[in-house]
Amino acid sequence: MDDPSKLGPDAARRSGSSRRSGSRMRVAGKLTALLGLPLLILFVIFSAGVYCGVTRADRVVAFEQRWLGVDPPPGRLVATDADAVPPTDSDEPPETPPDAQPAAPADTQPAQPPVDPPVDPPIDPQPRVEQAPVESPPVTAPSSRLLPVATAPIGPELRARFDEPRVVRLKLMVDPALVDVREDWLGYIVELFEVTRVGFERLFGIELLLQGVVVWDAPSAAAGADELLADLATRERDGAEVMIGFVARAQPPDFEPKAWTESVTGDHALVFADRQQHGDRYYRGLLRALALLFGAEPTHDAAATQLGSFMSEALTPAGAAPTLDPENRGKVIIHKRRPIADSRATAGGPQEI
Amino acid sequence: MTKGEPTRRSKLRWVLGWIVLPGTLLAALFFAGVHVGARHPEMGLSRLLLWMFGAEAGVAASADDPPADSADSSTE
Repeated sequence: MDDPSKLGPDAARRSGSSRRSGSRMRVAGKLTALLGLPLLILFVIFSAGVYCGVTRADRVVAFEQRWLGVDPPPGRLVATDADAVPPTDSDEPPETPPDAQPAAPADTQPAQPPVDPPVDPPIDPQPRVEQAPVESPPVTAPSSRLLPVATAPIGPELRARFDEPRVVRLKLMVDPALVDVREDWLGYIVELFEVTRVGFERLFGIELLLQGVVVWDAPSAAAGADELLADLATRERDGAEVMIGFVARAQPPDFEPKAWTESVTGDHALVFADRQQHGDRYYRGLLRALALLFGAEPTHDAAATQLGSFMSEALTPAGAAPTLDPENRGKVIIHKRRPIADSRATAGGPQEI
Repeated sequence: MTKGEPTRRSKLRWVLGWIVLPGTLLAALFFAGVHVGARHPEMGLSRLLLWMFGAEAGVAASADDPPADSADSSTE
């Protein structure tokens, strides 16, 4: 019945064509497998490289920059280990483990002779064109200016939390006004980060990594704090988890920084210039902003103020190392392993306290 | 046709043709991926891979961190 010879010529033609079409499909499949499988293997190898690259982005870029002479991507300057300022120098005591240091009251007054930190130039966005050449500070060894946070021994109840590893990557956005008035702005920001990194390791056991430093083409020089925060929250992060924006003007009196005391760690914050500080204008603000993200809260406690905690309104004496009150230190250590918020994905934004 | 011991030259050809050259090409492909991934962590392929393998751009232990209870914030 199915024999084509017994059927008519049309049926025989149809059967032959279907057989030819089947063999064509087989050939096409074989060709696809022959070409597709090697291509798939190559794609998998390339993808493995991409994965390794993206998970170690800063190290790869720093390696390329240092050893291969490849410039970092535009708008992204990764601080290599060679660029980083060593945490200790002649102005600081030798590196000791946090527990080996004396108790808190003794730490608030550093034993070493106070250094004479050059006062930052006044930063005023309006007349900065005239001020720029005058205000450029003399080139000094950057590590001689800032002192890491003084720490007290940590209690046994927090020791386990303190020892838990925590790595957080930061991307720092710098106000162009600050770039204008400081020729060494990049070195200054790296120094600022480095001394903050040392402080966070000593205070909380949190390792901060610098993912990048970028000049912040903010919405406008006159943008309000809320606009700046909104802009910062939606910026490209280049693998960083936390965005910090340096603003070269004083904090508006009506601006209240967000406190992240709930279930997540904050992912963006502003650091304003603090003209009342005797020493550096941004160091204390950076410590404060980061501590707020990790769950610390502003304090008006008399003991904390007397201690000079950077979460209080107390001014840091010139040449003194910043300190943190024990209560806020404990809050951050307890909250250090919270997941980090993603304000880009959260439509409503972080919860404001 | 009898098969004799491969000469040293043919061995060298075999090693070059099957090990060195393909290995170099594959390593170049891998490192090209590393370069691209490091410079473009926000591109689609990077995000897809991070999503597939549950990583967050090289950040250790952030997504699976147990949230700390906010009630125990007192340290005194």
